[in-house]
Amino acid sequence: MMDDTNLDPIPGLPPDLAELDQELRELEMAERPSFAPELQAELEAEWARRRSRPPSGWLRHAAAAAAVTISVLGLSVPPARASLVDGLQRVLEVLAEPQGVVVELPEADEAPARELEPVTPALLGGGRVQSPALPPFVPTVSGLMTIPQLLDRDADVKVARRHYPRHLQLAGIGGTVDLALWVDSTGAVDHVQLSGSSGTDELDQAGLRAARELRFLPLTRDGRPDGTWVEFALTFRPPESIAIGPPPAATDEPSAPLLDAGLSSSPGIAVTPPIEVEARELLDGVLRVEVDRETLSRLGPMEGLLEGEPPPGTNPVEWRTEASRALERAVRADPDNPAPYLALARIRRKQGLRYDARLLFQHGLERAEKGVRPISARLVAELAWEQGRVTRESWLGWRGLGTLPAEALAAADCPVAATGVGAVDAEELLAWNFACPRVLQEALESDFRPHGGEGAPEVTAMLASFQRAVEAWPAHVEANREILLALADEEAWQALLNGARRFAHATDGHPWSRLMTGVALHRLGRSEEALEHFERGFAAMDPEEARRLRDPVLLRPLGDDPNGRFYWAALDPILHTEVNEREVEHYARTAYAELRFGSLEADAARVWVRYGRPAKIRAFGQGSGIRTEFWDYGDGPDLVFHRPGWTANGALAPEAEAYLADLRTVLPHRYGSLARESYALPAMVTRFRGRMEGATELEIHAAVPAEIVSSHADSLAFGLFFLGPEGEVVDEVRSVIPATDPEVRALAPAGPGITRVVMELWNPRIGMAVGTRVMAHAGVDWSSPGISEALLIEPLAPGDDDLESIRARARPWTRPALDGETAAILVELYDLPDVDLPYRVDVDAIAADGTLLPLRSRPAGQTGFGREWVRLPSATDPVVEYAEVEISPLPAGRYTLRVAITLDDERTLVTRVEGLVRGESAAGRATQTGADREGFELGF
Amino acid sequence: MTEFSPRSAPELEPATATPERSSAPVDEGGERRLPADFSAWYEAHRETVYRYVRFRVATRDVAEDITSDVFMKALRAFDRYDASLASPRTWLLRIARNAVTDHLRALRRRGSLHVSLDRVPDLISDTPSQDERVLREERLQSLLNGSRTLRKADQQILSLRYGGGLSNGEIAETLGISSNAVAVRLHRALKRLKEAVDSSNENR
Repeated sequence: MMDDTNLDPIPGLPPDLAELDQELRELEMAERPSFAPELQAELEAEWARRRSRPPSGWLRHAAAAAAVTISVLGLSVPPARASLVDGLQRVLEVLAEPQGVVVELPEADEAPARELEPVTPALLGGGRVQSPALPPFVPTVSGLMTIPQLLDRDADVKVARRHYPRHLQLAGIGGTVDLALWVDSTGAVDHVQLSGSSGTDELDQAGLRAARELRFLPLTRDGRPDGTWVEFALTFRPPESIAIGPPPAATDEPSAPLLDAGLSSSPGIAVTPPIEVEARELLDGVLRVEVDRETLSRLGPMEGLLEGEPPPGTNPVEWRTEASRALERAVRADPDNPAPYLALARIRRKQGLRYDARLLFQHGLERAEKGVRPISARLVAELAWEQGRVTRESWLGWRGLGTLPAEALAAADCPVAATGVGAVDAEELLAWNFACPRVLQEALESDFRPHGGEGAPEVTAMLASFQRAVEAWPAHVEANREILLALADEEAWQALLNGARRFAHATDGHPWSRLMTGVALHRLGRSEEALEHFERGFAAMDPEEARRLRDPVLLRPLGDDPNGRFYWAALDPILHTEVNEREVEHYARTAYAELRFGSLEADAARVWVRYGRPAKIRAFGQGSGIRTEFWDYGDGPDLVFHRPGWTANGALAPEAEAYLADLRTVLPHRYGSLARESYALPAMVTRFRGRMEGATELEIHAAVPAEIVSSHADSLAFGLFFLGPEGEVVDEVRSVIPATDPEVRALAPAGPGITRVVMELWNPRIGMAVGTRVMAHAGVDWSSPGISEALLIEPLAPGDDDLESIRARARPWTRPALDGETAAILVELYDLPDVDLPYRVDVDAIAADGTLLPLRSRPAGQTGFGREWVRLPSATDPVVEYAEVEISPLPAGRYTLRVAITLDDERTLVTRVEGLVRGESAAGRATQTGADREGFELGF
Repeated sequence: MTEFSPRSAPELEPATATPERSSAPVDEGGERRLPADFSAWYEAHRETVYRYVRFRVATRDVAEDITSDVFMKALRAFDRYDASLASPRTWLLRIARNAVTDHLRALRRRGSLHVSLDRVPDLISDTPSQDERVLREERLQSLLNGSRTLRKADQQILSLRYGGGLSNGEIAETLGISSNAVAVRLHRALKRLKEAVDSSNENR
């Protein structure tokens, strides 16, 4: 609650706003309990530091000299990261303390001129320009002053990064541009001159542009802001992190070992560690002064010390004790040096003292960011990264702890011994998971008590550290990965995409950045772009690793031909699109699993690739730090992992390991939800005999589902795809239909070699497809004489009885249910003898329980419903037969219509229309020969 | 029967051979006490500054960082404080305002990653029950999130009132506008905040 004020309500507000006003006034927002004392301690330390440096005689002298120099030559401020500004500022502030030392300055009015020599006129826009007429130098005013400081200490690095021409970066060309800036009384850079070239014209120009974006705290004289000249050096550093192709010419830093062993074999890409050389030198510098030679030699090489690793043959416990002592001494002697903190923190971590390690990394980070000495952004990044890692270790030990009360299982009917009171232990849970998964599932649903919030502060602290690392040095590979994985966990795909792009930009396309970009794009429904990024990522990786990530071996049924060329083709959910969304989904999963679990070989990764993200993960912790995780995929027993608390990877429980062997049969491979949607299109399919021997002609009818018609689209893409035996597309017909069409109908002549026909509607605007896949051959009787499948149609209005005309006028039955008084059927009869045959048509409805209900029918040419013998009206081949059927007597239910045509009282040809629903439970549409039709599973 | 309960700290290896567990640098001594006035300000206004900042930024951590920054700056400029120009609270809030602006500007400039994973509860735990706490935390998040969708001027005025606890008169002084204008703007900002919070609740 507020401490120093009690706000009055705002008078005259309407009741709802008054309520909000009161709520806001009473809002509780508290800092961490430890925040106030921590900050107070920091403030006191700062105050003590300032007071503990009274100006000594030489210091006053130097300060006065410095100030005078400034006044004569104009202000000279080296790059903001250097300590001079801070130092001078402090000196001047110390001088302003009660001792009341006053530095006499030559007088200057509000418009001092720059007299720094020599001033080279800047080259702007290709031509030489004169210095604009700045106010002349007239010394006036005596008094105290403060000099300009950058508002953002890292601003110079940032603007340089923004304005650094890309081709110069790639060429490794850098340099320092010396500039003279006129910083006006608002702190803005009003005018820029070049005072020292970098040696590259383009860099000089970039520097001139970049400097205009700098913002300062303005100079003050006697507390009043004023304009002044500032000398400023802007450095463009070529990226050292990424070496593409041949190594660049010698740089300041010798080449260093790879940061990530996993990338060591990546062709053309080397990621150097952020800091090793710099940290080693900083450490070396202080230890040589503070520690005697004998101890130093016992401690071994600096690299080992920095990593917390004793030299071979040394007793690690003794070594760590001695190293700790030496480093603590270094910390006291040189408190602004971050390297001893880094080394000491790593040793503490190896000793299992993660809390101490975290604090030490934090101290190191504070020193590095304080800027008392020039510390590279990479070292800052590495400290932040280490801090985040050590936080994560403790967080993983905490994550997901919860309890299940024993009573939740006690009453359940399961052969596993009933538990007593208290909480269920992990061993019992495993037993229940395999013996009675459903009971356990229900108990977890209703009685599981997560220890909500435990570890949440660690999560935030961890992410803040990683983010800090990335901000300090955007090319930090591991920190980028951690942040991106966190975004993926949150399913913040757009943020993931942005982050992955920044990562790619900073590292010039690190393969991981490509993979994460692909994951994000895929989830955003942009599968083509996603595939492109995956391909580029794979291309930049070790070929063997890339092959593993691409290989669908984890998905194939056991014993399936591993070299099947058309493995993905058969699984393509949307034939209209150029990419195979399932293949892209696979890449997205393998990429994620590789980055999350460290390797596709890990149990958790294998499960993730095959089944995707679990619907839920529940975790139980144990005192030993081993957690047990239950991955719940909705049905079937959960998959159980044992995971040591501090690792990301999890190993399947022994029971689950055995179960994994059967996994392919227990749980089918799941594709999960694709970013693009594809649904089954219920359709009515009738097979007629084709013109070619062995070929089928399909008549496919479907109603256009409302879901696929978006308000923006006035048309839909329609496609008819003919698939070969391996699911490959052999032929296709594409067209566009108006989105207003309520139904679609296609006649598809399937020739030899065609095993399936797919009818698909695709709306690219909303990324949704509906499709139906039908077998090309099944269901047509090729014996002689034969009958086709029957097509259920709307009864025709009385009119021309010519059967060809009937077929042409037929409108398929696309209503959702078999409702109404009358329906009609069309069938074809083949290979009939060329004589007038007496025949009769019988139609029966077969109910779900097998009951046969005869229906009255009226074949074409008949005047009333009945079961009479008639003569076939024509002997041409094939004969199209039409009959109306009285369906009104049927009670609600699910039916198959059986059509039997008896010829000459000898032969009966039978065909069926299946899956018809009548009455209130009309959930499905009339579909034909459902067993043969393969729609896509709804929602996968 | 094993009761699962959170451990107090990870204990993986015994703490072997470490003479001191705390490795923070030893204070070198010297006068550590803050000037009395400054101490009094710190006690009286720290929470106000924190609340004001928290109203404007995304996470508790950032709010704490900026609050630290504000007091550090205030301490450095302490001897330049002029009581005739502003009360300590107004002065501190002015520094806070600039610090928040700098922070937001820096975020925009570097297009930084916005990791929206702030799960740190803002509330202290003396509230009645876990459920109640969760409800209040959610409501607080929803108000703060709603507030951040408003325009800068609205955010400014709401944070000065409800975060900084300033009266209309003080806000008027800080922003250099009339008290009447403050009342009108507050009314409108409240209305817009309500709309923002309601619509985000509907979209859930």
